[in-house]
Amino acid sequence: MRSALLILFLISAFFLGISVGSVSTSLYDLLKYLRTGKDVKGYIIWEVRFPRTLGALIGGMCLAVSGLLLQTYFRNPLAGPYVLGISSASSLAVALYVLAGVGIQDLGVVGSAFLGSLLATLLIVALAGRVRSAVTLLIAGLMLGYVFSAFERILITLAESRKVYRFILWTFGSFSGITWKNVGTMYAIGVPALVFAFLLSKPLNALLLGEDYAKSMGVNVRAVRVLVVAIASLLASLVTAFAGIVAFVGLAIPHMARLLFKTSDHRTLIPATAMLGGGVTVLCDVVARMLLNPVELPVSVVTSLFGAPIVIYLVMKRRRV
Amino acid sequence: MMRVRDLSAGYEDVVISGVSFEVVEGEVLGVIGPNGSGKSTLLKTLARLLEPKGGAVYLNGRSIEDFSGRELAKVLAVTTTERGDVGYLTGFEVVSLGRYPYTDAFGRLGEEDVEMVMECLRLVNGEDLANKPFYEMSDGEKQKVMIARALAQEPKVLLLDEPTSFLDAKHKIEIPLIIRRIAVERGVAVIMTTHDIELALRICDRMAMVKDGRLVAVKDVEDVGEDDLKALYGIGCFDPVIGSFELETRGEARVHVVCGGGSGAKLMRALAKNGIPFTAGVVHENDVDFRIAARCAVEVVKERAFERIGDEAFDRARELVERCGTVVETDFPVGEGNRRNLELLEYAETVYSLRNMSVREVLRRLAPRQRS
Repeated sequence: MRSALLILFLISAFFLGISVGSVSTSLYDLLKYLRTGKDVKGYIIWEVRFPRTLGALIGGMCLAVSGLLLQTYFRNPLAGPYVLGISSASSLAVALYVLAGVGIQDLGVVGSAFLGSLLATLLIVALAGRVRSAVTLLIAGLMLGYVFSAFERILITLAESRKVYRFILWTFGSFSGITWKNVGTMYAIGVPALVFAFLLSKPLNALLLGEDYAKSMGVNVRAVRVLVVAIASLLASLVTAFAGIVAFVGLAIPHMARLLFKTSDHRTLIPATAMLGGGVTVLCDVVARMLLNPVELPVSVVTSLFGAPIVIYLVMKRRRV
Repeated sequence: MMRVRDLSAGYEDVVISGVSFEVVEGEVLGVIGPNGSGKSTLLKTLARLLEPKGGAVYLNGRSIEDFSGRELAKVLAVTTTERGDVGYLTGFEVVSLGRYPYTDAFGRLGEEDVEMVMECLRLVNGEDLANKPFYEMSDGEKQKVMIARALAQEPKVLLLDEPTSFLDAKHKIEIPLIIRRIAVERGVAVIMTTHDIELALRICDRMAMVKDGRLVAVKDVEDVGEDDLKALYGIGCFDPVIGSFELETRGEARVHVVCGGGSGAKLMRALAKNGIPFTAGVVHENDVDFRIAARCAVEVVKERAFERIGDEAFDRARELVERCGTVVETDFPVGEGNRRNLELLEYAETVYSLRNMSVREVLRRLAPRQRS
């Protein structure tokens, strides 16, 4: 029943995503464009809104599942996809590219962000294989984030204000400008990573009891730690590359999924979190487009406005992860 | 079953070393010792949660280092003092996590698995906890579920770290009984750390005593004496015969207690608790009052078991009575053996009797300022 509602929610969100915008459109426009290739409104739906909505969908899924993995692994309800410094790394890379002109020019903003966060992922995975416990890793990740941010701030201090504006806007996150090609990349990497996360359900369930218990039940804690951190970071990197830093989805959605399904079993929770994350992010993207129409708000503004109160509420009545 | 050879354990530095012992199936071994003596570190190393700093642990002749994670999980299970937040998991779901080494890649439970989970819950009297969310459970219920979870691994050796800490009165009694049942009915070897000596003496077969990073001794519970515990904790008021701690009193005795047959137990404990030094006697060595007086009283005059009170004991008791002046008579049963205790009362200036006074009233008379 709840699953059916969730699927319905996802589909409705998707339809809103492709039909709402500063230009009013209809299904007829789309069909006309697909048939003849000549219709401005149809073009907007097919070439702008479709990729953008599909991007928000997979982006939300990736962030939410990334957050869930890290919340479970760190046994910390306030962990999120960016807790290990992924966002700071990619924004440092973008800062280098945009502000200082450093980096491979062919990569563009997307490529730079992806490269930066992948390097951070490798670093954090290398650490994950060495540290003794989850807490050590969490602290190391947070500290790395501060280091990256420090460099970023140096760059901001020295840069021209015009470039800083462009950079700051990027850090706010947005799904606008996502192309069909981008969507292809996002799904090609995102879907296998999500499936892989789902395959980790069994050890993740054992990790709910903590690393010691998991180990005593036969979980290869070190291997699972590396996998969890690698997948969570990859998922976060992917979204950050194409949409910038989208706040709160990764933090708040897993809590909503737990509340909605009243379970902590990852075999249910991972699909539920993915669907909820996708749907909510698409909705937030729609609101971001519409709220100050025709001016478009950064999607993080909407996710934060909607995410923060939920997190406050959950923290205040926190009794369980 | 499990054999430990010259084991050293620790995190950065060695915390405990030179540990050797053996446990056989169906046996409960209690590990006792002061805080920081290395009990939990030892247990974690036995569970392979910590790498040994030296020596080895063998299970059925095979070093635990040679087991795969899954193999070891099928032989060895552990509960720690950690009570994690497991979100919405129910009792059943937590216990079924114990089937981890037996289930497929998705952790799906077969019919036998479900049966085993329910059986383990039954064994800990926890069938009613199956559908209860873990976060709603009391400490005692959580402990039961965690023990059931360990049992669901079908271990041959069960390691329990302080299984009776933070429990309410009901579970403090119930959980030891469950541990005993697991050992006897399932033939599981249990190694448990505990701070509760009274309890350890009741449910363990043997005791391993740990102090300052050494295994001081491993003894059958029946052979553990007051001296062992004194050496371990540096306190000497534990009586292994009646299995209880008693408070000591020191100083100039203010009152003499004439008791017998257990009639003086409550009074003497009350005096000790309120710091009123007293002497007692004559009591027979086979009397429960003697066991308590021997620890609480400044001095106790004793007579050999089942003998009439002799002159030597009587004279000493008379001296004590005369020195204090005040005597409490505990309404003790009188027979051939202790008849002369009645005679003692005649040498007292004041006699309070529990026949017509409560322990409280006696205390009030003896220490009016403290009681006001």
